[in-house]
Amino acid sequence: MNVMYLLPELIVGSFAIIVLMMDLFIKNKRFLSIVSIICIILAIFSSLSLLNLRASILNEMFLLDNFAFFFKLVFLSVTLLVLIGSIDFVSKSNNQGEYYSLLLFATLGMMIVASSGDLITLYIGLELASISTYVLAGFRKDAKGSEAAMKYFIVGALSSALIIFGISLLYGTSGTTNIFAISSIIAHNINAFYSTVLLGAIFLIAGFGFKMAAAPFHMWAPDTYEGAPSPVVAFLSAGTKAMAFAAAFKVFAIAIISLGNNMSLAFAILAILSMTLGNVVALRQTDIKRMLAYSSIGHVGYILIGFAVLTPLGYVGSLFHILSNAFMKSGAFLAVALISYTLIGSRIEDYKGLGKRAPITSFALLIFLLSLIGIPPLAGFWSKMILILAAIASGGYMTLLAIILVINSTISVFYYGRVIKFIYISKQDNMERIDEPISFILPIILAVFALVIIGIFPHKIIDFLQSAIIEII
Amino acid sequence: MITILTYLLILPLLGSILAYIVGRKSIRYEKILAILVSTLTFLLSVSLYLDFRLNPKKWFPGESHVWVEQLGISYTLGVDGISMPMVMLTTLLMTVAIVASWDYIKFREREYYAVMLILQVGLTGVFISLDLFIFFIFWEIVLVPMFFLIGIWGGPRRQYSAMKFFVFTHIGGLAMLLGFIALFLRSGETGHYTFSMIALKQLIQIHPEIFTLGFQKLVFIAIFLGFAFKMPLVPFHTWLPDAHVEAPSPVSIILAGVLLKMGGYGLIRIGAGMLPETVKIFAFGLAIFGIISILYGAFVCLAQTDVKKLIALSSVSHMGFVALGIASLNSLGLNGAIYQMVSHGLISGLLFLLSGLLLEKAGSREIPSLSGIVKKLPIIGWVLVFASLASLGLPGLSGFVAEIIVFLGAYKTYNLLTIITVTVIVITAAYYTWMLQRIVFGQPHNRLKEVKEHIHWSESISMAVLIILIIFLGIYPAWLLNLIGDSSGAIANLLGGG
Repeated sequence: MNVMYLLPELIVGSFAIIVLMMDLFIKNKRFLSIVSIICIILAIFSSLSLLNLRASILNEMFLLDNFAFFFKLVFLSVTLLVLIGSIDFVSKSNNQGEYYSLLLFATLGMMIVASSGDLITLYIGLELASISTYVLAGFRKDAKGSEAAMKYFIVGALSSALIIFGISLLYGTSGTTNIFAISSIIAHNINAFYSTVLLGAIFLIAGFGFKMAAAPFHMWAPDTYEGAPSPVVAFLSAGTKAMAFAAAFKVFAIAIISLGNNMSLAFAILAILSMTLGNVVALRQTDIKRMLAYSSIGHVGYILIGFAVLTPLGYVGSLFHILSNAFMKSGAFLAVALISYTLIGSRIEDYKGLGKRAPITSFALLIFLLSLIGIPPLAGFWSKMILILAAIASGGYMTLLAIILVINSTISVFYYGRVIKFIYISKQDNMERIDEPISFILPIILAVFALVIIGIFPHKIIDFLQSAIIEII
Repeated sequence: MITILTYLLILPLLGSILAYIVGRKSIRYEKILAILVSTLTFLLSVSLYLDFRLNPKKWFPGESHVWVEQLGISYTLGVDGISMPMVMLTTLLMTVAIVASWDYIKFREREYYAVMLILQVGLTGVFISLDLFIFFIFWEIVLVPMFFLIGIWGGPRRQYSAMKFFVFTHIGGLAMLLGFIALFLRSGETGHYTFSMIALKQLIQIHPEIFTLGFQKLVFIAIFLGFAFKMPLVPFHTWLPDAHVEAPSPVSIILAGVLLKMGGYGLIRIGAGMLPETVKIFAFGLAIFGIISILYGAFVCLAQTDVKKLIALSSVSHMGFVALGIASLNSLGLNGAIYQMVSHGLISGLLFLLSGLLLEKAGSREIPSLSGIVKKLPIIGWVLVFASLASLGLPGLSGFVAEIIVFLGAYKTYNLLTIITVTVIVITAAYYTWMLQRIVFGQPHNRLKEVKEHIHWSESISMAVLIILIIFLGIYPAWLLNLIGDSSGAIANLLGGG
């Protein structure tokens, strides 16, 4: 076994403990944030060396491939953005040490999920990330924050129970927890195991549906997103959500892929429900965080299209959209964090005249929203486009998914456009320039750059994802 | 290799960034810079034209780089006889609009000029791209700056109008994208995934068994939606009066002069050029759409009291000619359609410029309160008379040439319909004469007593350039017809009309 293979995880894990310890001795808490940022940068560099490596260690419980590489980079970059964006946001809190170390622990859990080759590792990673984020969601100890954390915790615990029950059914039929072994055993005895595996799949879909916040398992998301601190929401909507998809991919696209059409139908229904509900309900929101929460449900629906069409191109589209969603949503929520940090508020009305008051944030938010609408050539456009392409290419009722995506995309213009309208077009009495702290501006600008660069070089991403997907399925 | 075509896109893009930066120093700088950049781009397009006349083959395609290989997307640019006049029209009207903004836009100038130049990138890109995907990207890029131009610098109901414009044309754009994707996926069955217009055109001709007529019909309906919203044809036109009435005049010049042409151009380039068999099938329907737009636009104009709204709705009528010209399936009709696009670009540009001046100088655009304006504002008044007559189709001016060619082409295919249309259009064309009668003659309205005519140099130059071109195209149509002849003839051959 090569320790190098585990280096990124070891770095994040040990730094998480170190930060917790340092919190006891260090007076200047800002130092902790710098240590955490250094940790993530080290982890990014150490994981870069794992590109194109294909190996499995610890009895195939831990896999290294380009799929894991992709997700680790997404998680680490989201964490990096969120960490930088949190410096000022949590600077007045007494629990900074816990905050940073929980963020690192959650990242560690997510990375383990990305690399898991076994349902046990997958579950452990999932729980590590979930439990850390339950606490983070309640970091602000006011009524709304507690409500957010409580809802998130109860639903999260329920979904974990559903997932572990589904896993136990899979174990019961196949006698193993290794996802590749499960896959081949079920494929060979599909007739004998059919009903049990189907039952397991239903529990797993429900469990992961909660974690992804796909309709109809979405109820917790708007409340949690509204009450939790904005940088944490950025982390939840960009990172934790991506983790749920990584885990779902391992289970549905590898372990129980033999269910084929049944599963495809289930995901198609989830996709349609999530897209439509997310986008339609977002129209009526007055709070920007709730609006983004519903739009996030809509985007889950888009990503699920890839799981419904079951083709490599579909999965490429899903992973691509996870990537663009990671930057769009984390960027948007950090921009929202900046605005609420400067006490302007988080109602959409409060954004009137923001273009003058906070030009940099406004411009970045404009790019995020345009990318969310899917205006070319930003990242969000390309991933949506590949999803449409994949859906039409697989024909049949999947074409319907593409058309529903297009209709929803049009609906989304109304609510994203309204925010843009408030920012740049509406006037407000108070037009004085507000201070835009560098700790927020930096991650926001990075996210904008990421979206633009991905938009200009989409072929690199498509190439990479294609090889990563074909490698493992 | 990078050619003039790419510079036509890069120059305004850089200009836009620069205008935003230098605008911090003084508000004059960005105006001068924007005028410089747009003039330079116009000169570039003229030099492109000169080279194009020497060897047209070299420019189709003029430039091609592979972009997203997996999806068959390449950055392919080129011009032919159809796009060349459109490119020149865009760069010219953009310069005119930016010059005309000098005295008109009075706040947030730095953003205004930056956004205008971005708009130019999108518009030029639509006319020179030879890859469906790149075409779509530029098509969508146009939406965003236009949304802001109407939304920020527009009239009282600007927010509503900007949203309506964005949503309507976005719906059309997405339908179009679905059509493009369908073409792309079918092309894969020939073993070669591509978005390239030239390659797809050949594939559709060679493989009728893959691109079946039923499939082509579906694709045509999807892309037709995109173009019909943009042109706009009745009943897809409802965004247009709102957008025009609220947009500031220089933006209206672009909106009517160039933006609407995207629809007509797409219908010729992608509809007739790539799916000729389908266009033949739908030609009659297209002709009906065109005629309804011509007549409906004209009838509705009769009821307008706002000069600007009248001009906006007359655009619907005039763009109907473009659809009718294409539907006639022969080279006369196609020539007429393209001629009409150029001519309408110039005439509506002039008219919107005037409507802006009227609002600014006379304080109103309502026809009743503008009576006797010639006595108080002679230059504006007489130019308005000139522009209205040009729009009406006075012989000797460009509008007449365009309409007569369209009618001649249409008569070959649909004799009875054309005769009816010509008869009705004569009656309805009264809307301009009626407007002129109310504005030009009669005693000056009370509110005009204090009005004096000050015409800024920027406005005089803009008007003069447009007037000269309208007369030039009216008395020497051969110049433009020669330019478009070969390319439109080739498409007419595909349509079987020769």
